[in-house]
Amino acid sequence: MFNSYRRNLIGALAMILILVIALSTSVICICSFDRTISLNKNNNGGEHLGYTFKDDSLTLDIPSGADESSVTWYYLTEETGINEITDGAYEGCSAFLVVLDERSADGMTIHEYAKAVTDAGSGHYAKPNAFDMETVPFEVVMNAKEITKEEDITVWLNGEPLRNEEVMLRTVKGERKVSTDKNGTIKFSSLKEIPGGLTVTYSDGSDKYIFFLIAQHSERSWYGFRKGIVPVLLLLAVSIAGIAAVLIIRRFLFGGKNRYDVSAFATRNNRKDTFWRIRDIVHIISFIFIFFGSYFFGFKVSNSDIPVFACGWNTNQFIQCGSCYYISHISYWMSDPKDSVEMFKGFMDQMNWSIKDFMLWGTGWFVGMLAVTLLFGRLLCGFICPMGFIQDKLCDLRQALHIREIKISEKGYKVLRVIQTEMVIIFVGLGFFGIDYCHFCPAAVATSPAFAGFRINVYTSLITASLAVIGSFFKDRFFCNICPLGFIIGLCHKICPVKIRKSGTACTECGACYDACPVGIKSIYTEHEKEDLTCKECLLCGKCVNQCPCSGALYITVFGKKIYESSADKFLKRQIRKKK
Amino acid sequence: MSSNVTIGEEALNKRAEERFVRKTARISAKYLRSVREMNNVPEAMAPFWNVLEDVYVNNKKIFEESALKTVGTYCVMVPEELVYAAGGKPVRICSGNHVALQLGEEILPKDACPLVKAAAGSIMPNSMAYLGDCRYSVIPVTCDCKRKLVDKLREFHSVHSMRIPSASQDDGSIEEYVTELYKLKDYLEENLGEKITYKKLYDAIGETYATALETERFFRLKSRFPSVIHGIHSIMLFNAYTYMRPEEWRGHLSVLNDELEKRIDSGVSAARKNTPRIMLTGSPMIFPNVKIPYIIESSGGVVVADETCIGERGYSDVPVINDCSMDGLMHALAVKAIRPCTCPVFVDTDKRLYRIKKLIERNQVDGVIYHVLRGCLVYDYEYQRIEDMLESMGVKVLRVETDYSEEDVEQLKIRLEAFLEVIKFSK
Repeated sequence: MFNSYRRNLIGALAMILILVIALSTSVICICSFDRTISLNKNNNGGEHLGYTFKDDSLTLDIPSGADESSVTWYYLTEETGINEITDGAYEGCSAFLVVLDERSADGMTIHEYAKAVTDAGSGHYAKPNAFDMETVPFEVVMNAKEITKEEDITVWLNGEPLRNEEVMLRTVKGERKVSTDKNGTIKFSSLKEIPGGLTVTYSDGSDKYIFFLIAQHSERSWYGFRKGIVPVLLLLAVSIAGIAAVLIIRRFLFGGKNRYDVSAFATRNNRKDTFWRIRDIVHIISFIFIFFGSYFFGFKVSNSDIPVFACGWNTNQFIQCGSCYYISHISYWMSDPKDSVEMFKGFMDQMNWSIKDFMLWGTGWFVGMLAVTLLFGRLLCGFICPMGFIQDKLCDLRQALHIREIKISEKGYKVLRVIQTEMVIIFVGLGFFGIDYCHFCPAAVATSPAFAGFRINVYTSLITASLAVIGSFFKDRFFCNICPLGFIIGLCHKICPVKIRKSGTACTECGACYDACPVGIKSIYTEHEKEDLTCKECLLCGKCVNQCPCSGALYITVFGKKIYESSADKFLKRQIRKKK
Repeated sequence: MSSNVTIGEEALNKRAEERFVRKTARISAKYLRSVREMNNVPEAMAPFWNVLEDVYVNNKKIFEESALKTVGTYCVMVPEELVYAAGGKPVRICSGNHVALQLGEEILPKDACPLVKAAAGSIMPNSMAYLGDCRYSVIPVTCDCKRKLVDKLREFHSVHSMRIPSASQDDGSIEEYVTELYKLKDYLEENLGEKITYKKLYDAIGETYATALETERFFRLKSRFPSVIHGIHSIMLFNAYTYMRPEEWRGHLSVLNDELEKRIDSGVSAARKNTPRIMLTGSPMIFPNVKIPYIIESSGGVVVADETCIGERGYSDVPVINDCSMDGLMHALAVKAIRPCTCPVFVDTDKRLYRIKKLIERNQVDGVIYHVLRGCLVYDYEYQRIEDMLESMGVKVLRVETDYSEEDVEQLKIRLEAFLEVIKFSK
């Protein structure tokens, strides 16, 4: 058996691990290369034409014996089709193609091409043959499909799939002979074969075609991963530094080494009971679900393939997003619907939706969200919110390290309420001034990628996020005290059938509930006459009931039915260590 | 010549000591004998009586200095856990001993309350043997009598005083008291020579939990209708707590609980169904000053609850650790001492009203005896509001003002019997 400090420690580390795994499994849009970079031509003396992808840029390798003048550049856009690059301008392109002048060798005419698909993940897949059949008779096309472990390519020759023919395939794994099936496709068992680019060579006796293909969308280079993980690691580093700084400053200011004893490691787990376990399990499941949810449902979200179910800021995930997005972008509701759907075009394309479908779904989703909010109220905060989960784990971590919490006084809570009100105004109002709340949403970086953290400016949101993390480390659920979304959800607490209740005569006013309460509801122990104590701040986390040492003093009801009640016996038994 | 004086003094002291012991023993033995002769006495009560007998009748030293350093504590507001963590044994110096009171009167003013006088008398040399080795005491300054007591007791041994905040629901009060607890911690560490670590304190709090689990069971059994145990037995049992180690006391209580459970199964009870169920509240009743509960129980009533600081108040609350750090433990101890404490030294009375209400509901109380020790003003202040509340609840209440002397026993008996009659009549 683990003792509790280890368990808490493991819990917190597991949370970080989930974050890292979520990032590593996602095929992340950020590894796309910048569309406006210039292409380098590198005569490296290699045998074949091809691109190398390194550090966010493409380099064209020209084989020996050829020079710059022997290549022709084309680019493909959605609007204008194929264009030749003459002056270096290639705005809005989705693929590059380089054609090497024909040459003869071994009695055959050799055609050599190199294609780079820049936004294979964006949803607009060019129909084969994408490039002009006259100029490029032979083409290898990447097939768009739902996210699976397999990937395939189709080989086209003169506008027809190359059926049941043997071709030479060279990938990072080496060269091998493969044959196309009746649809002209070649399957790969592993996605990992594609990133470095692949070359298909086919000869029909008189002509030899060599086609190099590199597609960005399945790129999983270390560079891309690094870019995804950087915000998380930066946040981690800044937060650890911040926590250390707070500890040092606290020791310096208040001295008294007695008060901040960090040396001892012995504690009992005094929280775990059935309700607490259920809450933990629900929280973990929802955390994983929000991170990996779209894997389960098979969505391949274009532009970025983050398997998360949360943030609408990842505009292509509109239909799966959290309600926070709607509320912080009220201004969109009032603008022309056509404008507002513009940003979700990619998703609509992928789902084959018209604007009407989209509006229908959007409204349906919104109404659904509203119903869920009304029904569950701030139970969502206590049981579902991934930010809440992270905060809980941070609190566990602090407990495991025996670091003193920062107590917030009554006055402090009042200040937090003012800050929260201001946050609400910012949250709802900024949209009207053309500023996005998401740019400094602390939850976005902290729960990256669930809240699409890496898509936002790390420098602004990192500050808010690290403040939230440091705050939550020292104060249980610090961010919940100022969360604007929580405030708005809290307004529905009267409708929510889940209530926290108190029996005034069973209470001894020991205030354990108030100490345990992460949002500082004092009336929970001073109030004697009123039974229903649910208020808009209450997260329904059940910590007060869990910590109550009086039988029947506090209880949680659903539709008036008791589901969880404080009990002196249970409380004390949890505290007492079992002797070996 | 000087040696003659010394011998003379010694002889004098010896004689005074003998007189003291004789007198104390007489009253204590009387009550111990009487309660043992009551009907339906649980056998498991014997260890508690034995320890009280050792302390008050035989005047034995119960703790050897070499094994445990005793620290006198004068209130439930002193967290015992800290003393245990420092390797000491907290012993309550609150006393109900009339003979010690007479000793204390020599150094304290006439109008001081009996509790303070008796405490001072117990600590004075040549009085109570169990406090003979006690060289340290901790006194929270809850009222004016105790404030000056600190100074008086410093003549005999080392005393640490603690400031008690006046408002219990104020967050600042808790912070204030945490600071006081840190001072106490330093005092204990310095004098007992053992460092209080997180682990030791946590373990000491664990002991409290184990004890609370057993007392919780006892309270549940005690609140049954009809009563399975006499109230005076319960009062003496709680009085014995301070003279035992907690694990020992807990063990005895567990045996008693088992016996009570068996009695419930076999339908044996200490009182009949129509016996008036009385609750005691007000100033503490410390052995051997148990005349009021004794009179009630010998006149056809049963004490089912006592909301005094020597009784249930000190055992029903536990420290709740919310933050696993040294400061978190201290906070938990401070919170336990201040917030749920219904001591009238705090400015707010509401909490006590609700506590009394709770006990009345839980124990189906018919009447309340409001005990005021002569000179204890704070309890007298609260009487008015409590009387109003009880009246609205339809519960009879009787205010009894007395001290430790046995002189008013007959007079009390008449009043209490009349009170019980009224309850029986209206039932």
